[in-house]
Amino acid sequence: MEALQLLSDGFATALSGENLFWVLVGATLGTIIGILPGLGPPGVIAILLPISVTISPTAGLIMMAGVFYGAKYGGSTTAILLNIPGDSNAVPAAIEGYPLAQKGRAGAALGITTIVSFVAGTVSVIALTFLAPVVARIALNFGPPEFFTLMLLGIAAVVLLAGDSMVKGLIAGATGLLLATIGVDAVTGLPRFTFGTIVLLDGIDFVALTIGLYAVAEILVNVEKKTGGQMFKVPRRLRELLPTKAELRSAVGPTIRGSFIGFFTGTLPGAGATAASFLAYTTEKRVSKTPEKFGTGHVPGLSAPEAANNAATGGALIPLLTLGIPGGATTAILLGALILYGLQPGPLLFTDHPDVVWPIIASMYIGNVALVIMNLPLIPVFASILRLPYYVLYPTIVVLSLVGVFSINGRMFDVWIAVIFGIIGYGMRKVGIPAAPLVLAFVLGPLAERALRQSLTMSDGSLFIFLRSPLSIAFLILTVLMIATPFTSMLKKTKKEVASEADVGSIESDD
Amino acid sequence: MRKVDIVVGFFFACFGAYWIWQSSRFEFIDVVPGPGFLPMVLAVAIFGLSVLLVVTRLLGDDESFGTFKAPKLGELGRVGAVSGVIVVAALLIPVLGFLPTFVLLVATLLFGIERTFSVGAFLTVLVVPFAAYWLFGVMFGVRLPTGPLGV
Repeated sequence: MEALQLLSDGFATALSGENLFWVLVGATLGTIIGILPGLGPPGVIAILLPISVTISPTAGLIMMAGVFYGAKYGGSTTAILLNIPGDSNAVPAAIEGYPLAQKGRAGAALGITTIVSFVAGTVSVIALTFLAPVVARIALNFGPPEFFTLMLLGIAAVVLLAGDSMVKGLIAGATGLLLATIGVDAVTGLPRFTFGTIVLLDGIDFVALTIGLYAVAEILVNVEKKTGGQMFKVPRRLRELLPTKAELRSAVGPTIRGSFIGFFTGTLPGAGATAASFLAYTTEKRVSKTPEKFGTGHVPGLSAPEAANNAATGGALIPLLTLGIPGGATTAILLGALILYGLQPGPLLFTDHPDVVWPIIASMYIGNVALVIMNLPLIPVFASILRLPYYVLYPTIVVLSLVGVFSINGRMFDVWIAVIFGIIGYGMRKVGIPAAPLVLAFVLGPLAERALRQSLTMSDGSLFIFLRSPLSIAFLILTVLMIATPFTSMLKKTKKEVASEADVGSIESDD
Repeated sequence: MRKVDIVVGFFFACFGAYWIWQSSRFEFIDVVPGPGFLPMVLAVAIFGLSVLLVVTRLLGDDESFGTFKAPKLGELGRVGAVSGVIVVAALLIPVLGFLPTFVLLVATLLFGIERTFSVGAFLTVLVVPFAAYWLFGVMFGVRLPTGPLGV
């Protein structure tokens, strides 16, 4: 009840003219940033820091929070329309949304992601409002063994993304894990596989890798044929641009599941929205009755990771506000902003500065509403981009991709990564090696390795540390089930084929 | 696809073997896994999976593994040309600067490869690089590489 009272006071502050203005500025900027590849919230919030100290702390933090969750809305737009994930967490949106666009359902895909983002964002803010202290306590119980087994579960999902050839899928996954080991080892500080170069000390940037494997590779596949007219059919009538009732109904369950997965994963420092969206995607595929439809433009496959991506925003603010622990790059900069304003994040922040914290939370409700109102009418505008002839679109994609990856770290090395992996990605498509397992393993691998080594350091090398907590055991069981699923399906399929061949054989012998 | 898979398998087997050699230079395990542990395990896995891929393809028949749609020579030529233009653009960015390089890139793609001289093509050459420069360089303050022209 106290939380409700504080929240209503927060709304009263957030709905003031000045704060409402900054909510809209932050949300709009965030959406634009999300659309552009490479540029992410961390960089832009860092740029806005000097501006934000000239306004009140509440207004400044409201604006930066707006950028944070606004970017989630925009990130899936280019992923769906052009197969360019605006950020790493939009890769599942590219996997499912782009095939939908290819079928002429770009508008429907954008509509679903906007509505799902609104629902998930609202769910996560409600959970943040009422569950922050409880969730913070659970997150504190998440040590390296629990973290490792959760990441192992995520990596095991490679088997679900392997496509037609399990062996090629596993090779791609193992390659992704291996590429992620390039750079300075997080535990010992030793450079690994840097070949004496300074640029490789930071490893391979994930966004550069994904833009290469998805955006650049897609262009190379499409330019095989002369690019005359528009690439995909785009309906003209508004009704055909929006999702159907059946599509919206099929998104309900995945949205709820994705929201919870995303919110919880977002509370884990280091896990992030990328891990959340991949976990939600692979979980949805695992529980689906039609897993073979994933990757072909399947609405549940689009809804779950989008929900997780947006719900992770609220979750990520919990360790930041309650414990002073940033979960990733964006929340680390928000932490800097809080300290700049003279606010000490931690358990006392809610009690010492309710006049700052609760308006931020209230502004997230307002921002979610503003974003859905802004984005829904823009769907026909965004979808109409696909009406442009491809010879206009693809040079634009090349320019945006290359300048976008340059803007990540300001170095040409990332541009070369995108170019090289673009060519590699084209080759992978031609020979049937899927990119999704490589990308998933690349994201989760470093997190899993660090947690594994920390766990074994704690237990002096004993593997039994992974069997000491119920959470670890639960994740390990789920991992085994996840790995077993494709093999049991294959076994059932083989049994059916053998049985039907035996039936045919006995009918022929009767004849 | 069978023959393609065999070639792919050999390639990844060599990749895995090379990485086994590279990983052997780091500590594997001393009570706890060292920096060489995961790379070695993964390199061995890649090598093993690649050998499995080659063996299964050698023992199987052509129909079991799908068909490989080889790109025609003309298609490969277009892909090679576009890739080449992008690579040359990446080489020229630090020399000429962002804006001139991307104007040249878009112009080469549209006039040189697509051989399209429509109004839309000219507008794309004029608008896209400048719009990207304004958005990233001016609005978001990204320090884009400059060349002798200062842009």
